[in-house]
Amino acid sequence: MTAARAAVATAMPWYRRLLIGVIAGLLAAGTTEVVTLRVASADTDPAVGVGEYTGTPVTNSAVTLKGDGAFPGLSVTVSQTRGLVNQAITVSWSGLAPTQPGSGVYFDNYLQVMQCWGDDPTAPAGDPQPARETCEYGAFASDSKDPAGASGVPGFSYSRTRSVLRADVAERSATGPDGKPLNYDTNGGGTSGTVPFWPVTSGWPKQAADTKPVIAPVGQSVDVAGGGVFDSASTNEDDYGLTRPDGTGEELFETQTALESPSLGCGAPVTQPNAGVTGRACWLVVVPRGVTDDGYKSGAQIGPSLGSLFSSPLSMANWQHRLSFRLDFKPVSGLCPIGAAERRLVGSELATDALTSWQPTLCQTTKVPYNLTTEAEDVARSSILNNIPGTAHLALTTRPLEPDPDHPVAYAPVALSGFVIGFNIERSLDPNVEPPAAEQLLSGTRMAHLKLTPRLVAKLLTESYGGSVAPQTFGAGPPPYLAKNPRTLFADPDFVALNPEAKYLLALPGNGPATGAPLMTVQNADAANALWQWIDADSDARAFLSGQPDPWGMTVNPSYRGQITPIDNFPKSDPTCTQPSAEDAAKGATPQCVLDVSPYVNDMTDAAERTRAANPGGVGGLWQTSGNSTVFVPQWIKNPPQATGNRFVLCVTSTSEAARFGLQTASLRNAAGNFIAPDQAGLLAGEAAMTPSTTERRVRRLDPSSKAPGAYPGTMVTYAAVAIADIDDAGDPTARAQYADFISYAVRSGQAPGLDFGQLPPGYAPLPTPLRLQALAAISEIKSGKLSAAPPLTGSGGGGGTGGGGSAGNSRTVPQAGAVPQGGATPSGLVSSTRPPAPAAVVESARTPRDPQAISRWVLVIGLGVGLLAAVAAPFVRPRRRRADAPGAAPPTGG
Amino acid sequence: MSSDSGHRLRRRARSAVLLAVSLALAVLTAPVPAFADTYVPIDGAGSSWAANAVNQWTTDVKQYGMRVTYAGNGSSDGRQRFLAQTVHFAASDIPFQQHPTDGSSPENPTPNTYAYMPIVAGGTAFMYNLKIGGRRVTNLRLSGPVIAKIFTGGITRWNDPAIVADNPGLNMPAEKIVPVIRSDGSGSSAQFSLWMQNQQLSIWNAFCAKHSCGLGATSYWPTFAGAIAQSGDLGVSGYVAQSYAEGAIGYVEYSYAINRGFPVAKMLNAAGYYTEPTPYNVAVALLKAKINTDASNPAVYLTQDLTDVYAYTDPRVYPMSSYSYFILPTVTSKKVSTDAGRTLAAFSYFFECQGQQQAPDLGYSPLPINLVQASFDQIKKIPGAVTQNINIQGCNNPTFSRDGHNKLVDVAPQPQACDKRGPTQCVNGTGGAKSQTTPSKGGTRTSGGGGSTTGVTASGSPTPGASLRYDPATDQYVGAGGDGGTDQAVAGVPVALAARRGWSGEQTLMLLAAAVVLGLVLAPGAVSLLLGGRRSR
Repeated sequence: MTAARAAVATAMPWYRRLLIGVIAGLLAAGTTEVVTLRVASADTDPAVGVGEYTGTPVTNSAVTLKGDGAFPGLSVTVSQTRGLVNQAITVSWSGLAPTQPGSGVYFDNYLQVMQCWGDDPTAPAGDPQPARETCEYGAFASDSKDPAGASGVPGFSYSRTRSVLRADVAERSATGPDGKPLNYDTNGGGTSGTVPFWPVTSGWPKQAADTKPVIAPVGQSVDVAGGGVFDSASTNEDDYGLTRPDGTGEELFETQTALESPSLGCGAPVTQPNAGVTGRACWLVVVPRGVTDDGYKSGAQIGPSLGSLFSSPLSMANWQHRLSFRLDFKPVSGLCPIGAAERRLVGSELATDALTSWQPTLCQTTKVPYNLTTEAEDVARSSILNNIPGTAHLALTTRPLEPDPDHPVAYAPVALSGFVIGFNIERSLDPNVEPPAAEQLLSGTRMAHLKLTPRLVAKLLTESYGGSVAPQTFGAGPPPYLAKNPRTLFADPDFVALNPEAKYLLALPGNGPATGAPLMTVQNADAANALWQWIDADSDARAFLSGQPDPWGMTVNPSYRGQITPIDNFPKSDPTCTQPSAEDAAKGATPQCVLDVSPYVNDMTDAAERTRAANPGGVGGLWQTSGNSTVFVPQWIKNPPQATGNRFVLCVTSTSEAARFGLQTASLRNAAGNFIAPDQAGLLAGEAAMTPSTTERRVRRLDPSSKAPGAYPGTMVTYAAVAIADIDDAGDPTARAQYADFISYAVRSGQAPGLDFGQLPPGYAPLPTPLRLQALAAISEIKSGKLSAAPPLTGSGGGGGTGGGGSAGNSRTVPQAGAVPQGGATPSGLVSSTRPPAPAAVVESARTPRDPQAISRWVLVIGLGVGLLAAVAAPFVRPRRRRADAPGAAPPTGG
Repeated sequence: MSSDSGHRLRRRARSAVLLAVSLALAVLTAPVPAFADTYVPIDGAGSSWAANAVNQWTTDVKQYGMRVTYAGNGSSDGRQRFLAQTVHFAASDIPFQQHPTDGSSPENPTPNTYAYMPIVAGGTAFMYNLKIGGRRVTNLRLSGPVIAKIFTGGITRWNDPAIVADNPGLNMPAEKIVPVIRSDGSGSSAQFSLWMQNQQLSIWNAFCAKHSCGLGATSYWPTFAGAIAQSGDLGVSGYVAQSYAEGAIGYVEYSYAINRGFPVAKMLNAAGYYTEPTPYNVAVALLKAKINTDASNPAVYLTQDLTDVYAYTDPRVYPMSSYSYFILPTVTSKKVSTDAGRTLAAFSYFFECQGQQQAPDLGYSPLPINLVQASFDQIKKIPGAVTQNINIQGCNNPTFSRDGHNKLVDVAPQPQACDKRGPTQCVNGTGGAKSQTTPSKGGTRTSGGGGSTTGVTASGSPTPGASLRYDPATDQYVGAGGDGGTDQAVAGVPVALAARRGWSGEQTLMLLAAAVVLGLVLAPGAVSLLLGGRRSR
């Protein structure tokens, strides 16, 4: 069981704190960093999977160390040891025996990983070693609010504490730099004690006389001692890195800078005599644990004398086998001074990660801090046209506003990213099919790849798998209308045909009644719309959604049949509730409905974070009538995170959030029939295949029916949409310049990929030159308040003369899609010669088969006819001069 | 999915909000860069009602080197964690419950170890999912007793005479009401129950006679037949938004309805007007919030007594308005070092000042300056707070007036006449569905004037009120050219509207647009001609 692991995971939401993020498979996968650890016997059975490295990129500063005599076969690699910031790195290893998991505890053969700041004063001068007194270790949530999690925590074990025993012979004889005994094994009184923690600020080992270390009570968490150093909410320690059946393992580890862990102070600026400013270096320490436990008692061994490893990694008997990696950090600098008036921006969550990275540098460059209020793009778009002081006139959006000559909008591309299906799936073998030995060796390893078609994603998003509706808690089968459908994604022959390894695997979440449905956001978002557009453009998916069975006979959940058109959100339409057992019902238990078991997540960050933590949420398990100190009100207990080795979470999120949280991402099938990963190449090909919007040629979108062979179908460009005529220059004189400064930074320095402040974080592809040029053109539009005569970039249609600044009373020229390009309309220098004029316009909202379009068309015609009549009649009625501020002037005529 | 008109309508609605927020930009003084400080990571937990605001603020301060995490798992959870010293701060909609009567265990904070600080104002909104003749209703109105009965099982059908009386413009369907309540310990439930006890005591007592809910605030709303319980504002809003949840109504902070694009019920206030929890109406209502000013008693200082809010007779009041709070530590502990306190103080100062500017965009209402200033005194009690930097001058918040009154109140628009209790009912949408009008019986005539109808009146045609003009300054529709035209009640034309999806708001808006163009071009001229005849030139 893994509740222990689960509890640890809950206690360490480090990914939430990640400022810049993890480089995970995403961008790296497309380049060089996929390392095949094993090649299974693919020659005999092509369906057998391949165990692949799923960690962060192995950089040229990766370091591999071998175990000592007690761990002769062990080899541990840290993926990056230089130029570190607050990020995730991967500790991977091989050559250890598989971990034996028990109930609520891990018996043996795991690694314990921690970050330390100081050198051991007793180490020889030429061989610096970390000091255990400076390691961030021993913090765990001793009072977990999650009852199920708490019950599974292996409470009575010193393995995750700083406590040491006098029974450890090496500890008993340990001495300090002065040669005197340390007596850590007795400072708790009697025959046990605790390794103290000295924060970097203490000056240890030359601390002032009155300075005291933090000493946790024996067997307890550092949280109990307090002291303001680190605690279960902030620590990055990894108590249990489990070894898989093939002897390998892989753990993500968050490197913390002085911002995340001031008591370590890593990366704090240090002025070097002749080398400028560097960041304070630190240590990453890996303590391997086998089957013996001399820290508990000399010669103690799992099996005959011990149920599970008991002692702390800081106990000298264990500590002496450590593998120590020097970590060089970039200096932490360039933060904004707090207190200055912020320039507000509004809009898309797709841009959040880039903004977060840019902000600290942006404020230095532009002398003003920028603030992004994240909200649904549709809300943001409609908000920027206000003509009153204080409005944010810049919205980050992927779709254009409806054109309105009274409210011209400049569009500057600032980020290239997209939506993804992210996942965290560990191979859980199906005992009923007896997988080949090569496959069995992969048990518990993380899958690196999935291939998904629009129809498969449609199945996932419409609760069409039998298991997505019926919670396992009650042992109930699927409802009758789903009984003929596969229970899960991995049981679907449609999926297995593309991902043959799935025939050996179960797609069941590690524990709890979670349904395996993807995590989806509750809020409206452009990304949701783009995803539905992709599905809608596929005839197979559309047929499935309309109610036709797929070739294997699977049909859509009737709650969705014929209901889905491209919309801005993800409905959970199945109303089924499962009744509790008679016993629970007698105690007042309520039914479990789909939303109870598989709830929404708040946003794409939440989706990715929960996927990383394998914590999809929801309730299940026990009906609790007399709970802990908090809850005496009867309710279902919340699900704990899923068990290690059996994780199964899918989510809809963005490329950048997937990268930040180290998720694996599915390759999606584009209209050319190719499965494309959301890496740089896929995003760039997707961008290249984009076509102008029918209503606003400054904004381009990927038509999901594009046949471009390499285009990732989830590619999206985020634009800074600036309402250039609505800015109040008198009331807010700095607005134009500050919007321009933001865009200028975003498309110049902000496009340099990297993890440092100010750089383009993983998950984004650098903007191609034509888009940057378009952004620069938009800057002059923002500054001048006038749109340039012809839209840059596209070169199609709309020649000079119809642009902004038309005199009042002019009838509006409606741009027509596919109009014949007028020669010479293209501004020189802004259009890449390699980009052909886009022939076809993207359909803004795709056709919905069920729409009785005849009616709509007539409405439009009638509406326009009346409008035309009005226009014709106007001269005869002699209107009084007035401002044209009535709402909803003539509707736009789409293509 | 939005038409041009939709964009514009919504935009104007938002303009109205921002107008107030941004009033005196002159206050935007020159930046006062504070000295660069170093911070330590801090974490908090609590209210999901306030979570949309708090989460935004935690993102905002990253660039200043602050690492703040927040878990919006409910106010009860936040208070418990604060007491267990596993978080640096809690966010809660209600104070510590030292004598709970809802079955939960008493919360006994050590005296003089904590302080309450208001963080943001907002309205507890009734988000609903109701269609008539296949068309979404966006202008539902509910009076207090009706709300009370819906959430205690006393009214179970949407065509209950009491609801019909509230909604003269709608042909209410005989559909079942699905009240959606919170399953977790919630400050929203507690606030709601306090309102029930104060305003709807007999209904509440009758309900509690059958269910155990105690006498004070109940953080755990009792489940009852027909009700659905969901966890957090996220769960409630997620449920109500489903297609199968037609007929559902739940209570959430206004922002959740906006984010999901759903309408909220207009609630009848003491002046006899149905209002929605806009930032304005919340600000007006909270003028009557009695804030405890007994600084000598930290257990109650700055807590809210909303009794007078419920009864406040300003026509703009949204009755279910309230403040949400941080619970701050005032002493060091095993969890709270002075470094953590210094960070928490800087974070608090940030959102009490600049962070308030985002409140309307996020679906909340900013704090008035007097509460911000009172909050400063609370911030200064946090161990480690750098007190010399905590002042209103460096606040960079243009919504603060110099004399301390709430500027939102100055410009909060009066409700439309059609929002008054009576035979008319406004057609304009609410919450996240502002752009969707709901044609109603009785029309929306708000400006008197000529009786002639200029709109399209073809019988049986699903034409909504012609010549409607949205006035951003007053957040209401007025008849252009002095006439409101005739509106078709939603359920009155089920045949026409039953054209299912073919007839959507967009088509309606197109016609509306055409009509507006017609009216815009013709009406002024016509008026001009008419008037011109009488006027000497």
